[in-house]
Amino acid sequence: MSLLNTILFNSRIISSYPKLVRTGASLTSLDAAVTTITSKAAPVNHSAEMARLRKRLPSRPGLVGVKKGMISYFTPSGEKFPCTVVEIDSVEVLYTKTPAKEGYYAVQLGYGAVSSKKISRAMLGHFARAEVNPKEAIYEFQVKDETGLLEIGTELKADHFKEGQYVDLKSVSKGKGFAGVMKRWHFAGLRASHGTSVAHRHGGSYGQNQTPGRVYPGRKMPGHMGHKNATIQNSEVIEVNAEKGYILIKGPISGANGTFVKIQDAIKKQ
Amino acid sequence: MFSRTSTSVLRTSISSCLGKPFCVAQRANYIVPSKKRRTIPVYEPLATAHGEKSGQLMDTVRGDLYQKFDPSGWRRELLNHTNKECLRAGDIVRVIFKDSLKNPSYVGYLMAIDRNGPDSTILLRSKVSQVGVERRFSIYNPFIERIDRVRKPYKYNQRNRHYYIKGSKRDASDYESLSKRTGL
Repeated sequence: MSLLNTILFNSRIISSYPKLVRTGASLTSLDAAVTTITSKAAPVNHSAEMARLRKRLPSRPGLVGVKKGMISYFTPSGEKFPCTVVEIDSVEVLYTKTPAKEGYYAVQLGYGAVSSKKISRAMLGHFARAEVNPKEAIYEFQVKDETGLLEIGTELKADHFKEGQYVDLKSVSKGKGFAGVMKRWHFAGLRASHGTSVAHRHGGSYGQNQTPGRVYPGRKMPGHMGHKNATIQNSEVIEVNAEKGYILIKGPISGANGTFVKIQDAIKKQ
Repeated sequence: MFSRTSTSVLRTSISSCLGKPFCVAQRANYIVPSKKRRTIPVYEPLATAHGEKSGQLMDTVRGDLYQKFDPSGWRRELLNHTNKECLRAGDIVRVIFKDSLKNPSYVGYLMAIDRNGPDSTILLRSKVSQVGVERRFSIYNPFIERIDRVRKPYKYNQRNRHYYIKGSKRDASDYESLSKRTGL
């Protein structure tokens, strides 16, 4: 019997489940009560502020220049390579942008000199506030934080960059007009003979028939070619002449002679 | 914003000064027309601004490269038309390199001179075991120590580009072995 009791007792214990036992009315003290925790909302990733912080930006502004032409250069060991001449002429800081007002850090640079008669009054006021002459062109360089901002009116010379360092070059490529697929996308064209009729430089089919019944987006077709922003990364600075105001950069730069070029510290070499 | 009365007051004043009816009906009435024109200061360009020099920048850069790669000027003299001893198509020319033990010199018939500033080149043709060989040399390459004219022709052809000599009776010969045999 005692054995049975033990088993029963044990089984009861095993089968027992914590139950809410009401022992009488009780009030928790206010001190012990859990106060409401107000958590700070995590920043929304899909916001301009977070997008700026995610961006890979250089720590200092670059330079504006004008592509003047190309030239040969030699190493002492006799290797020959092409160089592009970039003119740097009276580049001055016009304005700086901060997140408080514009939402990002940037330095606005003006290039060259132009007659005040060719400038609107609104822009004349902008130049006058920076106490600089009316500029031929204005370009802006985003920087990582406020340490990259420069004082308004500062002149940047060609020696902003050092010989041997690498730079990124942004400019507008040469416009080619309305170009066919052979020129624009390097299509092979159709056959010269064997029945090809007035379609020697065509691109062929644009897709299937009833299924899908439409041309897929991104289909390569004839259209306007060139005159687009083009970036060349990691070009080497060969020679810098701050006094005469030019920089020699190894290799080509997009665009015709006279194109404005944005030169920046190479983002992938930092 | 601004009350209509202020514009209307101005309207009367402007219309009176212009002497003809001034219609502001199509203007946004929050813009207050002002007779006063603010003068905006215009600052002078920097003293270092390129100005007209900008057009000659490529010449400046070429000049700097001449100073760098041809400080004594003998390379420029070889290409100078006014110099009587300048190179001319038809000459037989020897190009001698720095570290000449490692890099043997090359002798050939000067077929053409490409005058293009610091990128000027000469094209030399010779034969090596009866096979025509052409090499192009950059005059301003610092690796070239010397360029000697070995021989002038008896009579210069009235042409600056002698590409037509290939395979003809005027073709270049094996100057290297010739010089060893006869002391060209």
